Amino acid sequence: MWELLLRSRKFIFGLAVVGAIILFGIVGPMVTRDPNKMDYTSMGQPPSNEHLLGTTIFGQDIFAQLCTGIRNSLIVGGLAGALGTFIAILFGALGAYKGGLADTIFSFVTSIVIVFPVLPLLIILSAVLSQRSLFLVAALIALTMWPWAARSIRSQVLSLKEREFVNLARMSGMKDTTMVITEVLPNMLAYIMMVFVLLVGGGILAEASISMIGLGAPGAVTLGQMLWWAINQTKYANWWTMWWWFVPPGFILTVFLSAVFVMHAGMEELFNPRLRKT
Amino acid sequence: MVGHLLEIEELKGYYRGTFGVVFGVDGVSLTLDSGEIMGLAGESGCGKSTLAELVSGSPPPLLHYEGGKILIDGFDIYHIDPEVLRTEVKCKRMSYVPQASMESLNPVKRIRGFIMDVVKERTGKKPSREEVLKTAGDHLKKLGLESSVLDRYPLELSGGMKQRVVIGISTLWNPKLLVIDEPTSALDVTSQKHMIKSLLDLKQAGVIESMLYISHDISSLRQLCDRCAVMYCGKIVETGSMDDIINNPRHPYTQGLISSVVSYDPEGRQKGALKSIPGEHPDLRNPPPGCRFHPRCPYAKDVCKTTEPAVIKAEKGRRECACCLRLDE
Amino acid sequence: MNKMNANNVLLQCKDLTKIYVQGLIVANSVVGAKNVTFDIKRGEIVSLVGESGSGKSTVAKMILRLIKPTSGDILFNGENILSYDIRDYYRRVQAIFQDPYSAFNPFYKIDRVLDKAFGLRNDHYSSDKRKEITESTLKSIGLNPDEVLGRHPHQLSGGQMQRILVARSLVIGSELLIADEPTSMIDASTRAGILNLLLDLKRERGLSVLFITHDIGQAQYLSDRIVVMKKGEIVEQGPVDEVFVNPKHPYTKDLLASVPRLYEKWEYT
Repeated sequence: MWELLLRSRKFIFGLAVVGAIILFGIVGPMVTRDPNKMDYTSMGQPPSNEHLLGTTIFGQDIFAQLCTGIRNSLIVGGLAGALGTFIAILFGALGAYKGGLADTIFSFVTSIVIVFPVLPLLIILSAVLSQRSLFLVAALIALTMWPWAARSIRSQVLSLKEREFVNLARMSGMKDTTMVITEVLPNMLAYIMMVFVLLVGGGILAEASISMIGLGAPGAVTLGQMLWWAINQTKYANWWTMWWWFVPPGFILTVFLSAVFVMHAGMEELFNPRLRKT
Repeated sequence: MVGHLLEIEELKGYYRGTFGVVFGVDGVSLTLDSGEIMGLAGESGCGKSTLAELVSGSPPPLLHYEGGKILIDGFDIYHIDPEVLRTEVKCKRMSYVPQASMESLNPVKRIRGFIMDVVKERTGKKPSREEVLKTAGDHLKKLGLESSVLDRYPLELSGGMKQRVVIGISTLWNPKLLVIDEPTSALDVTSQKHMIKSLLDLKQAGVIESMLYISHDISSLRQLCDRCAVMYCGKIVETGSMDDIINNPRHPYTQGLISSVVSYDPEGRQKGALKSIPGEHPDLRNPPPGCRFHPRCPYAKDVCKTTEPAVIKAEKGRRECACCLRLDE
Repeated sequence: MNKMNANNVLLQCKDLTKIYVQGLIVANSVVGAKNVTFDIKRGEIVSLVGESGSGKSTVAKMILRLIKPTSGDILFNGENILSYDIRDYYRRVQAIFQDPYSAFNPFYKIDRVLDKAFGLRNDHYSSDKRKEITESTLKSIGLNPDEVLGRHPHQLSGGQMQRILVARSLVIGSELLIADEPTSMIDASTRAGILNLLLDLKRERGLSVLFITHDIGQAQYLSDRIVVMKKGEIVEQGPVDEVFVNPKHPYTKDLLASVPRLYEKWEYT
């Protein structure tokens, strides 16, 4: 499978960009100064030699904030993606495999959660839970994103279930749960990877969305939080004049999400036989 | 001197893609005269469907015509203007019905709508409904279908009926040659007999003059064809009349194939045991050198591993066999 | 609890019925099988013959305990199959299916299928002994272990894979093999090998086979008795020479008349 993936130009391109940003997020915070430290000598200044991307209205170094912000956003996105994928597999695969009552219950729950409007729900939850940490935000996002992934996983499992090797495994005396994990899921690895990649992208976007409206984790520096601060400090100047504050996080967000989608498109071209041309 | 209706000479057609090169058809020659029904036999992967696609003049995207000649009623289809190919050869002189073509009927259109589309594409003008109903209805009757079929949707028809509809549409302009690939493989046993009868009726009614019938089921071929060519690994190994191929096969592969066919005998179970051919059909990406059958041939000698056998023709009966060890016969 | 079987009957189906019901409010029922009654004796090959939709696969799946019958009983060695512990049952009854490529999990090597087979046996062998048994079983059915072990399904041919499935049931040591159209996706020239293999196993080991097919020629070559099914019901059954030479039911007669024969041409009136 890996050799196959390396053949897709889209996948490699997307992976390279995503990888570069991740690297940035890991190495960056280690070499830049404290993002929360306020430098009273230059407040609200455009990029200069001392502050590569300028400073915020409070004198914080934007470049430092960007590095930490990338790291935190990635953490939230990654956690949300992983948790969401796990729940999706649980609800999608087990239900589909067992069939009958279990399937009905699982699909029912999935259908209900999928219909919930995500953003209003996140807003309400965020407003109600006053102590918000990054992990809580990640968990909330995961809890709202898993349904659509569960649906696609369910249909994949349903079709794999009809293959004879599942019957053969049953006739070797295997139990149901073992069968899902050892027989069905390995054949879905490609699919699960695709789902995970999309959920990570979606998670980062969701985090940025709720942070931008002020309901993210207070005190933490993420890309979305940077945007919130950049847009909401109208006291001292019109916010769009301080372009060095909101352009970097917005730009990174856009680039990252586009790269994720390109990766996903590359993977889908390879794994979905109907899209293959050669 | 009447020329052959279909003449194929040293035809080569390869699949090219990210998987490499597959030598689908590698130097095939055969002739078909007007009035003959010729069968193309062989197992899966031997290249018979590839040959049919090449004869149809429109091979699928990955299949490339690599050399040789295909002459249909005198037209060299790979060396003429595509427009001439479309107007003069296709549908008028030759028609191709691929495998599982009954799935190609548009499920949301009635049969008559489909036919009207086809006629409009072909003739450039929109036909009137009465015209279509009359001509198509008469035509489908020759295949044993009622004209009420025209008003139906594809899902209301059985597999056999859909297949006959597709054959009917392909033969609307009375092509001289019908190339048809495994029309019976998706059908039930009882429908198969009706299908073969419909094809014979079509020839009887003069709609088609000859047929190239491709199948892996030799018993079906026996019911329909006058002559037969056996393919193996991208090449034709033996050609001859149907009787000769079945009762007196010369090439070791044909012999193995005939003795492995398990056929129903109403007299009771045959005493003899079936013999299978050891080994597997080679991958066409990497055909064996020399004679392609040598790894599985019970008579193989050293010369078979290096040189490709020449085709030996018998004087009468247009019998051909590509095995150098059968020189004495 | 071994009952002495006077008439040597291994498997018995009595009035086996399966009706599929769709929809909660307006129930739409489809008959999979109805009142199917037949038996299989020890060391006998019985062919279940019919066209698509005749219910033969449904019957096979019920015998294999993959679906539950709506009514009727299946007795193995005189006892209801549902009374057997499931692993014990699968030690005695196994299957090979139509599509060899679907029967192997493409993710794993084929050795895994044979390894799991040992899990059903009562004895616990060391891995060396298991390797020995695997290799000798493969050889006994005409496969070279070196060519086959350690490979993935897509590297092998259909004929080889079907043989591996037969080897699997031999390793398990089953008495009854349900073969659901095992040759329909295999080339004609290798088909004969599989059929001959089943005949050899019957002669040498007394294996009973339920051979499900739509191919009359293969059924005639292989079986001792024939059961003809149409739309879920049995229309005729009996010894092979009786059913195929002197058919009584009009459907059987129609079916036999439609089969293309190698040495004779159809006469159209």
